Amino acid sequence: MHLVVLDIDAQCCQSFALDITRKVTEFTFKEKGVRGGGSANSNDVTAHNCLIDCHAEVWTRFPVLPAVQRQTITSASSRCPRTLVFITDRDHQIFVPHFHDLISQFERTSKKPTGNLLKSIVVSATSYAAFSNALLGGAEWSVSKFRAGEWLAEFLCLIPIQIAVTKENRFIPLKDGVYSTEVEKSLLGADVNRIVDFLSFGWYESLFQSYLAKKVWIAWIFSHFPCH
Amino acid sequence: MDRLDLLSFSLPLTLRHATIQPVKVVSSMGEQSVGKSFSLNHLVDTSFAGSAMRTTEGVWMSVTPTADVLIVALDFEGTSNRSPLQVHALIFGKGVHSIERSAQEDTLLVLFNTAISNLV
Repeated sequence: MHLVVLDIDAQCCQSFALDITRKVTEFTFKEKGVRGGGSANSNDVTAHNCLIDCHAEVWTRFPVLPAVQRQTITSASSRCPRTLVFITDRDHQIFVPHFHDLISQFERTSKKPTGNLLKSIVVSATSYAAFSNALLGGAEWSVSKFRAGEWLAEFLCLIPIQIAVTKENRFIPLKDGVYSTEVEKSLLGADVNRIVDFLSFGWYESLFQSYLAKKVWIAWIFSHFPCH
Repeated sequence: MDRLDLLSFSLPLTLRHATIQPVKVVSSMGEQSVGKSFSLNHLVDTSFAGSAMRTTEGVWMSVTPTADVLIVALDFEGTSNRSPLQVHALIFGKGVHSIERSAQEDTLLVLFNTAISNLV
């Protein structure tokens, strides 16, 4: 996988090769179906849309409107409507209909509850010059404003952490999501209090602390779950 | 470096007033590839990465803060019951990894799951 950066001022293109060390974190974009076949009669059908169409993949795999929603962002933050701006110097008129078709097709085929969330995404296409003028023109940016901690909490909640694995017929708790033979050895024969002190949930620790929930949760685990 | 191993934030988050909130644990249990991660994601707004192609390994945790409770979601690896589909997968070289779970490992996971969750 490569991260490609176009530097317009320096008129150069930089490419960074990313080394994906864990296969499960690697995502690829693949074209679906046969491109261009039999659609020559239509002027508004385009090829190579996978970077746009992958939105539907996300809506399919993950909830659009979950039953219980995270509430890390409070009303004190100002959240703007979701907006998607395509910046290009051509064919501005075809982005909005394509995206709306994508939404209609997804809603028709998946039949998931969406609560009008997708249809309310503001989609537009503009030229780089217009976009740049809007940003640099001195006018106030119409972007969402969050409290840093709330944004961070929202972000952290998106990353699940592995807390235990089974290996060679054993149940092994992980420390900060990582398997470590040293930690495992040091806990041999440890009592419950020592194990509780050792347990750590990586980036969720700060979240638990801020909700003062850590002790409740760990104590609860161990009151229900004898070690041996 | 292996993904976010060293990411352990200790800065206090400026969330709403730090208050003690009740914790509810929601977990999943069931056979492999029946959509446990998918269901959890849609129930409590998490992003567990289970799918037909990659099954969950071990136990994963995610947290969903709401106004009243802190929901801790646990996504468990499915138990390997060797359904016809999985035998098919085994023969054709897919999902071998999770097929190799022993009965004892399944039991340990199920025990941990039942021990920390309220059965409803």
